[in-house]
Amino acid sequence: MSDGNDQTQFMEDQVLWQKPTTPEVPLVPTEGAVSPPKKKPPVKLILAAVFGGIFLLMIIIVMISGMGRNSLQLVPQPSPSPSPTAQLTDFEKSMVQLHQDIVDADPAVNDLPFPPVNPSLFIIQQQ
Amino acid sequence: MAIVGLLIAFILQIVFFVTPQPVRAQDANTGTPVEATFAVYIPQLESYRTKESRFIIAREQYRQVQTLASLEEVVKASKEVQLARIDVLMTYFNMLREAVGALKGAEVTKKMEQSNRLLTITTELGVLRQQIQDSNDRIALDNISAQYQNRHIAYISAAYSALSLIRIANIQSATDQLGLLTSQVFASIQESSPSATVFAEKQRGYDELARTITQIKEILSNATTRTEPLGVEEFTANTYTQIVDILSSAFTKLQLAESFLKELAK
Repeated sequence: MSDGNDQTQFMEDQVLWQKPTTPEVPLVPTEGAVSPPKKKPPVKLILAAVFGGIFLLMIIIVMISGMGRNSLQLVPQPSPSPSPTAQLTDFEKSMVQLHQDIVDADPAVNDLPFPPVNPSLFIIQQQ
Repeated sequence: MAIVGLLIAFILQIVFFVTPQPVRAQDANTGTPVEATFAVYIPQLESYRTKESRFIIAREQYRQVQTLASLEEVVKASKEVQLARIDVLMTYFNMLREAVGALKGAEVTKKMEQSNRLLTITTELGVLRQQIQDSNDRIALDNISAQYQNRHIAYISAAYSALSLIRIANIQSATDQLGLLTSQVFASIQESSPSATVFAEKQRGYDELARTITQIKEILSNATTRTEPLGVEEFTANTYTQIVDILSSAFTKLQLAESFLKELAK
């Protein structure tokens, strides 16, 4: 089944079933071998990265401040127009007051009900 | 690196200048004394509910495990919840007293009577509060709880009695205002010297309005009579509901009379 003459066999199968033939690379470098010198990143690249970061930060700050301004505009501003009762006659003002008094006199509205407190707060149940 | 430093300084300046200044909140509207007390009352009630739940849990735990440590916990919880209950009630009765004091349509004697009754209850609750404060054991705290329980109905009665006075006085005040404006409107009609037909029509409207006001006053008198013979502990939530039912018809007539007045004033 795994002999090399089977043409229906896939390449991957072959790799899986066969032992790797690549030679082992020695872990310890041989004496006298010189490692390639590390390249230092150029100063220009560092500066470019710093400026790029700062530029991005500025964009973010401008966006945040813009959002802040928008949210401020959402806060309802007090209307500069005078109050509706300012231009009313004395009689009309009295009528407005009467209407408010009637609204406040609705007996169905109890805005001060007795507080819902428990009258029996005993540690040992009372007989 | 100096350039970087300058740029950071520049960004910091932008942050300070561009960041929106915090909007200064407007001074809180102090409102009426009742509203100011109500603002204190709501957090107190919330605190009471939390402490009541804590007490019930501690009590259950004590009943199950029966240890000195759990007893200590439940005693502490009992003290806290009882103090919170007294605080809620003292604030509530103060609020009622302020509401009664601000009434426009009530007799001075009735206002004084209610106000004194509420003040007596507040003082009584203050004494109870001091007793709770001084108690540190289960028996003492349960005794105070029993004292409170004996007075609970009287407190409810006082509250609903005061609330009834407030409901009646509010309708009375609006009716008085309505009567005053009706008289002003009719006087104005008479001064304008309308034609005989128009005057007759206005006269009929005025008469109907006057009849409606009389009916409202009769209903108010009926509601007031309903409250008078009741003793200290006889004024229940049910009594209050009955008075509200009586006043509801007065309120409907009041709304009708307001529309009559608007028509008459045209």
